[in-house]
Amino acid sequence: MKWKNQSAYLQIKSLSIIAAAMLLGMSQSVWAAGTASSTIISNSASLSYTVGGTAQTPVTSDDPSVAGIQATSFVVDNKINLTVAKVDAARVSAVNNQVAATPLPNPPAYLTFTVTNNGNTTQDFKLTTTNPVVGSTDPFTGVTTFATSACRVFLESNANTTLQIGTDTEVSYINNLVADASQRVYLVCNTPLAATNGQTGTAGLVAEAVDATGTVAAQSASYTNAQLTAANTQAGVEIVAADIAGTETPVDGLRDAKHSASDTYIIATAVLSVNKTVSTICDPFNGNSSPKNIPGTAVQYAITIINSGSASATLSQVTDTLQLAGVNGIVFDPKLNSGATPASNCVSGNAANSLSATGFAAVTGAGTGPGFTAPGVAANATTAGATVSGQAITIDYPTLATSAITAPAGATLAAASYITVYFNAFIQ
Amino acid sequence: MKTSKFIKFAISVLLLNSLQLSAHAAGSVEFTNKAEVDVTVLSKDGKKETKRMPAKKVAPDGEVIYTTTFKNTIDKTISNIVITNPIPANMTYSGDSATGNNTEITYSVDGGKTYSPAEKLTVKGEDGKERPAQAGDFSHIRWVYKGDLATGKSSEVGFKAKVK
Repeated sequence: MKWKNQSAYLQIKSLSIIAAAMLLGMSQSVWAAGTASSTIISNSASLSYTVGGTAQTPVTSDDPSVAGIQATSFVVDNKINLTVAKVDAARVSAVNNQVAATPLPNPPAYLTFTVTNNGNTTQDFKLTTTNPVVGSTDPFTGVTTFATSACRVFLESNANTTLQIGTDTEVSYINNLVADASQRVYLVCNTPLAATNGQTGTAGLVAEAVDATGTVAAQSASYTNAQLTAANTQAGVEIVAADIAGTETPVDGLRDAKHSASDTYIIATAVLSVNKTVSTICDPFNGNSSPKNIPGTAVQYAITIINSGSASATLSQVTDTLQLAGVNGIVFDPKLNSGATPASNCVSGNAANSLSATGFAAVTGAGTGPGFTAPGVAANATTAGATVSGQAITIDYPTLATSAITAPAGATLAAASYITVYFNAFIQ
Repeated sequence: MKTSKFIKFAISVLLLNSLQLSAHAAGSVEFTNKAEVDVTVLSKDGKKETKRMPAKKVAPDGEVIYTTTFKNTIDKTISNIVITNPIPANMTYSGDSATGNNTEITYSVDGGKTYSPAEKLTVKGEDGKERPAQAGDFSHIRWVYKGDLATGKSSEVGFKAKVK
């Protein structure tokens, strides 16, 4: 009798070891997002007891809700959760009048997002975009001052983190994103022509989880409201939408299998202005001491281009036509007379007072200029890029050169800087 | 030799019928284990109320209430009742949720080899040092029923756990 009991005990002990091993074998990997859906979770308790001081065969529990002797088990439901997040740490610089039509500007100014499957099931995700109206709050705690439009969606197709036109595919559907996985998404949107430097425009990305049976070509339908809000019947496959509301209300709300985020463009363009000033250098009677604007007087013109925007500008040419020569005209001075005494030196083409063999000088720097005081210095003399033909002055910035300015650097005018070209003319 | 045959037989039973264990001793103790969830439902007058129903489908973070009932169905008093229940894989024990009238409740953090009261258990932390065990460390719960269970009497023990 005692031996039999022992044997029975051994049998049960072995069984429970096997059962434990099987439970371990059955357990599926637990993701941060939760136990995978359809995982079966089983439980059996065991009870040992004695009757009249004799140990009895231990008993294993039975699930009373299921016919036959069964372990107590249930199945893990499909929990839907997703996160859309913007990646850009600051507003993305764009030019006004960016057109997101084909062919795209390459590279275009694009907004970067990630879509993450925080659920416990592989899902597909439909992607849509929003264009918040002027006055909407942007994700950088500012206010949108222009509306974006016609956004196009691109998926990162290799592991790099930049939009590559021609490599990254333009698709508004993420196929089979497994639990815990993340997909990088880019938006390229239109910016209006009227948008000015420093204005901001926001675009939103809304991702909606749908079942993974669809493909890009044959997309799954949205979950119905009934599916998402069905009472828990504890029967059949049930969906628990556990997502929170994102930024793009009312398109995206709480527990609707959608999430959203927004990101913002800021217009960064060059804002150019041209200043032309004139000062009197010398006259033939007073020299450079309080010179008057009389016939024979040298005057100096300074043409300053200022970039007060937030992007550099590439300059091409400025042309200027001096008033016709003759009694009421002015004539270009080929030597850039400094006006230094004696007064008799205040004549056009005077080599002794020359600051520049080309008749032109140029200076550049930060701010609004002009960065020199008339009559200027010989160090600013240009060697190329400024020419005169009759009364026509041409300044060609890509070739403009002085000892301090090297072409074609002269053609690029950085934000918040100026370039001034100056020359003299004599009053007839 | 005889024992190993028993085991082989036991394995084949298990393989045939997964977790259907054969040890439901006929007619001595009725021993059942329910898994239930509390579900919020709308009553006919539109009020929210909590309804407890059998767990069939539970999402991650969902809490399951396990209730184990035992009844003496023989004409003799039974004694030395010990109930052991493993916390299922993919589930985390909800702290302080184990209940059982007239029982002494102990826990295991080593897969059921040893049992101690919750406050006396320690586990090795990631830094290699022993730290007090937390609810999530428990692998098994054991209820030792104090006293005897007379003919026809029943009692129950239970605990709650959340799906990981």
